Amino acid sequence: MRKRLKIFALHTTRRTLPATGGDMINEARFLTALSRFADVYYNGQLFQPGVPGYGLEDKEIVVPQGGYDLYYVRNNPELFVQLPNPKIVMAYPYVEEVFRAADAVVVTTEAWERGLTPYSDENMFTRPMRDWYGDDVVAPKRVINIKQTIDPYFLEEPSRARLIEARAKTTGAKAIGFFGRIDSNTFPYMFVRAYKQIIKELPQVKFVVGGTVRIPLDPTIVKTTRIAYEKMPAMVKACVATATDEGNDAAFLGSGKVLDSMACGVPVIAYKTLTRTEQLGDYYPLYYENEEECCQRIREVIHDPDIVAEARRQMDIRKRHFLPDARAAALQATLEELVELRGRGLS
Amino acid sequence: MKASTQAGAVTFVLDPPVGISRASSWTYACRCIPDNGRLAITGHIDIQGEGEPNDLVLKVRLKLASGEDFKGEVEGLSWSERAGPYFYPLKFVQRGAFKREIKVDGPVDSIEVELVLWKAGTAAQYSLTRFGVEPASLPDESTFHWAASHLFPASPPAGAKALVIGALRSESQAATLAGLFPPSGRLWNKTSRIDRVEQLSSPLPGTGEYALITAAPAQDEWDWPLLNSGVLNDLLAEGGRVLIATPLTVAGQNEGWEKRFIERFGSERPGFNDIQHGLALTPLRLLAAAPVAGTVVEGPRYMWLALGRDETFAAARRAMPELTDMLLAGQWVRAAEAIEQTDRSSPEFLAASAWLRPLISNLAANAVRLEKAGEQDAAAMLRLAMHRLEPLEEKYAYEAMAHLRVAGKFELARKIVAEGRQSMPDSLAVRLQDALLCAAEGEPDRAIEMLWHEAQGLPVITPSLRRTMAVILRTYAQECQRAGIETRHPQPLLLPEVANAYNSDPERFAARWHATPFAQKLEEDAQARRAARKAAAPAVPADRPIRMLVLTSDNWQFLVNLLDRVETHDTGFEVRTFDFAFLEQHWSKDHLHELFAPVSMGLTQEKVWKRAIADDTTLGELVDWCDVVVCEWAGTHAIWLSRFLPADKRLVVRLHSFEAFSQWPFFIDFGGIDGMIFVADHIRRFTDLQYRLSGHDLATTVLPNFIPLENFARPKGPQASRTLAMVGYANLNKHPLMAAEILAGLRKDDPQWKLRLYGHPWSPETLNETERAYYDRFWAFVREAKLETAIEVMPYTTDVATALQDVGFIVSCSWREGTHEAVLEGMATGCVPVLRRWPMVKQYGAPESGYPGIPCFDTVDEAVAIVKASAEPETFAKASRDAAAYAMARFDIEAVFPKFQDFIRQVVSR
Repeated sequence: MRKRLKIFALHTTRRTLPATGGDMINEARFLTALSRFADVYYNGQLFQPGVPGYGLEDKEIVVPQGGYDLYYVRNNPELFVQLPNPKIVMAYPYVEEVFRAADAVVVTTEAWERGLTPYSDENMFTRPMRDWYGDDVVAPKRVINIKQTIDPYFLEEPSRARLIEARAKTTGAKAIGFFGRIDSNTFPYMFVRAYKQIIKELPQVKFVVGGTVRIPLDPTIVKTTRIAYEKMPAMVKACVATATDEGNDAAFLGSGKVLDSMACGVPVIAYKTLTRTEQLGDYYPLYYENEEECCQRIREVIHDPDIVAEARRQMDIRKRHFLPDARAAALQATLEELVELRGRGLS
Repeated sequence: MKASTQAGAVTFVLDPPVGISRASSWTYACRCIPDNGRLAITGHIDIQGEGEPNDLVLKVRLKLASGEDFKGEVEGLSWSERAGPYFYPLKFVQRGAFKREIKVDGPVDSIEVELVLWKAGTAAQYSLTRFGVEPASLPDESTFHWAASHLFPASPPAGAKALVIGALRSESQAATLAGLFPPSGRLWNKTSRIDRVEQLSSPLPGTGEYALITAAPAQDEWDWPLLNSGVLNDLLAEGGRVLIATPLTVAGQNEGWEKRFIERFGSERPGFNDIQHGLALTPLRLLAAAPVAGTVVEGPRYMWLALGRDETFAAARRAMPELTDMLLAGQWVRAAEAIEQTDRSSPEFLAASAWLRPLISNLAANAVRLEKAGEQDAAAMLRLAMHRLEPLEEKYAYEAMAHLRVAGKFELARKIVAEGRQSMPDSLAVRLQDALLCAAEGEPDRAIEMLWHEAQGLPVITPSLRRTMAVILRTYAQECQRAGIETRHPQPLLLPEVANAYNSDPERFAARWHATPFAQKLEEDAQARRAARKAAAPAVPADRPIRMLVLTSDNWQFLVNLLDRVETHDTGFEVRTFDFAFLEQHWSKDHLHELFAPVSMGLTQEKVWKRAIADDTTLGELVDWCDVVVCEWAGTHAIWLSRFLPADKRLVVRLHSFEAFSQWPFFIDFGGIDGMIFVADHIRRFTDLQYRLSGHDLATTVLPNFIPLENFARPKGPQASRTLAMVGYANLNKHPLMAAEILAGLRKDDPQWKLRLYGHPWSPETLNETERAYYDRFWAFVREAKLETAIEVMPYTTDVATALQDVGFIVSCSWREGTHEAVLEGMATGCVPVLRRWPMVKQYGAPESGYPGIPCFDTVDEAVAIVKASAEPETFAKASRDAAAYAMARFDIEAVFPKFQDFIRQVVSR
């Protein structure tokens, strides 16, 4: 039997991983997938999926000097450069020394991977990433696309009480939800323009947002306060559909909220980008690229059960790629190969 | 961007075209002292895109040398073109030339111009293709050219040198430099990474000789030049300039980056003033700022900052080296204390003050940071230092007073108030601070008197007076409920010792509140609102279901079963829902006065309602749609609705136990309410006595919460007749210590007795001092009575019926309850109730009023006797059956919901 990898993991300078933001939630999901085939030690403690707080205690961060097969760190350059090899790092933020030192950088979408290989003006995938990476980057030795992982918790049916509460927060309308960090980089402005059009003919539709709000919001939008992570599946299920990010970052970043919606079987009215296509597939019926298309997608969600059924069917097909087992299977070979190559001095 | 101070005119130019979208904006700024105060803003604009064309505006802010906003007269602007510190001289319609001249009467030192999407982030989206003169007039299409050529004082002398740190961003920048520094000059081009310069700084030749230093650090090291400003200053020739390209937005950055950025500039997207704060503790002075062209996709990633030597720094350093060193080291509190202790009329202090005064904004930013970190004492000292640096500025004076008061530094606050009343006798703000301080110092009656006096003396009630009313009236309500007991608890009646004192003479303590002129004003408001609403009340059509808007603020716990019922049964109601929590959070402090000051003193119902539904149209739609609003919890949202809901809508409020012991009902406009639902009769009686409900024409009823109990009954396990349980135990109010004492009493005769404690973990580290002391007492007793193995701590569960299968007795030892859900749920499972006469409410009939016929206890011995009476197999079986039947008949939703239906119908038809 093959030996399980022992992996050290750390996100910024966080000693534990509370589910208080998209970054941390995605990180925990990734570590959950890794845990299927490896023993993951977050901040030196065994990461235990399914245990409250993943079994992590608030302990001082100590730079490990060895004892692991692989080191994975996100956004902690000072610590990263001190780590032994093999080590991998999330490909953002860009720090030259970190890119030089890393055996591989980790991305979550194919568009992101392509944008970095090579990072160049001639590469159309690079363009949307200029704000993040600037004029030039050190070419990474290797780019690993970990994709994103569905949290199995979202596959479970929420309790009726949670569902009723969630519906109450949406005013009992035909709600289209958008949950998470709400700022000008993420917010679906085109969707909102379409929504404002559509409520003239479909007043029963409400756009419902919840999360940390950092921008002024249109008064027609139903606003909810920050939603606890354990209540999120019910909140998504209380909606007839969800909306996606539209900002520049959507061109190359993954989106946890799309996976949440897929897991819950709630259609996503998706601004079409390469990354959304990676998640939802080419045949998904609810993409839009402009305001009129978006209006039409909203109408279809409200009035056309066949399209809604097709959207669900497509999501059901696609979601299998993002389940922890599927992600684990794909990652295992890649990471074991990396560790082996490094061990042979070939990385 | 070009800024020229020639002939007193300021011309701003942006070129080449850049995209503008969503929340992006640019700030351009420069130091310029206009001739005769005349400023001309000219240029061309060409906007393409969608949205409302008037949404793009030019914001202009004029700054004094101190960094403060210019607040004087501006000729050439109408009143609508000024708001707060900004002027809005241009509202662009889409394209064309523009020119606007204004004249300012005052010592303006700098001008900051921001091009911004008004209502950014709603739905407008533009691209700006031109703003400024025709592109052809700029030979080099870059702001670097502007920055270098227009901020550089004149042609550099022969032999002058430039130092370029980091890579030049374009060929055109190299061309610009070559033009400025002809062949006889020297161009040092350090194209390697900026962090290497630090290593090179000592051997660098030509210290003090560079006429121009440009730095374009890598994004992750954006603050390197600021951190190394000393080195740059040393390299700079007299009159020289530093140009730094700095990213000026945190959007899309990681947390660490964001934190560093905000710490430096105090803002996520700083303006000129914020940048000045960020640079205040360097030997360099900000002269101008402009965006770096060509990098903008969604907002300015980089700005050019033009810096020169700050001569006031050198003077301050000579005069007060210790104080300047403290400030440079970021020792803000020590520095503030030093300022307080310094003779502020000394020549040294006066010499340093030119550098110190602009630090007011740094002090303010750090005060805010400290306040957020909960360090109120330190923050107050910083506010005091701000006041000391500008002693005649009213704003700093009252801020110092307010923060010293909040920090509990009453003596110092009193001193500043006394000084302020002398130096600013006409200041209402200072007089209000005096009243607030009286309230805080334990003289609430005097505070009320002063406040009333101020209110009577003003022709119009100002917002600041209303805000002060909100604070003082809340403090006064707490004072009345404190019943003479010393405590800082915000809801003093929740403490058993306070409740005991209050209950000794409740009429007297309530009368103290009702005797104030403000309470009388609230009462007058209620009478007027009742009359207005009666006149407006429409009949509800009988041919359709009653439309009910069910509303709460975040807590839906006790509404879920009601909503489920309406969804699954034909109840004669149509229901929509609304959560008020976001609006409450969003309105926050700015709207507290709407809740706590009498509406008739400065507000009108219609205006406040219109403003609210302009913020949230859904609230307006739903209220329009409904016949009746059912408001869960009598909290601040209930206050607001009672005051501002349109007169033609019925309002029913459900009051649980917690709110009856709070101050909120003092501020509810009972004239705006048609029906009140109480969860227990003793709560109704207590509320009536304290808040004088009976004087108002409103329907009341008592209804327990809606709980479907039909599936709770389970056969009891063999251990049940020797097992007690509490469901929810982890606080002083639930009094688990008494349950442990009952257990100890039972075990004297039979060691088989056990106690199970179900609920959320009782974590000592999260408890306040009082709760922690109680926690320690509880466990000390458990050890002393050797109950460690007889008490089982069980996790929180939503499946009470299953959890209690092995439990025979459900215990309630609370000091205060409304219905105590756990008891009635336990009874439904067949547990025998062991009910304490809840001391804080027993004089109002609790708990027998809610549980008639159930034996209750006052002492541990009585409780033991109640348990023993039903503990034998036959008696237990019968008592268990009776308890389940009792619960079903009184508390099951099948029994409660029809009463609710009747009550709503009654209210709607009133």
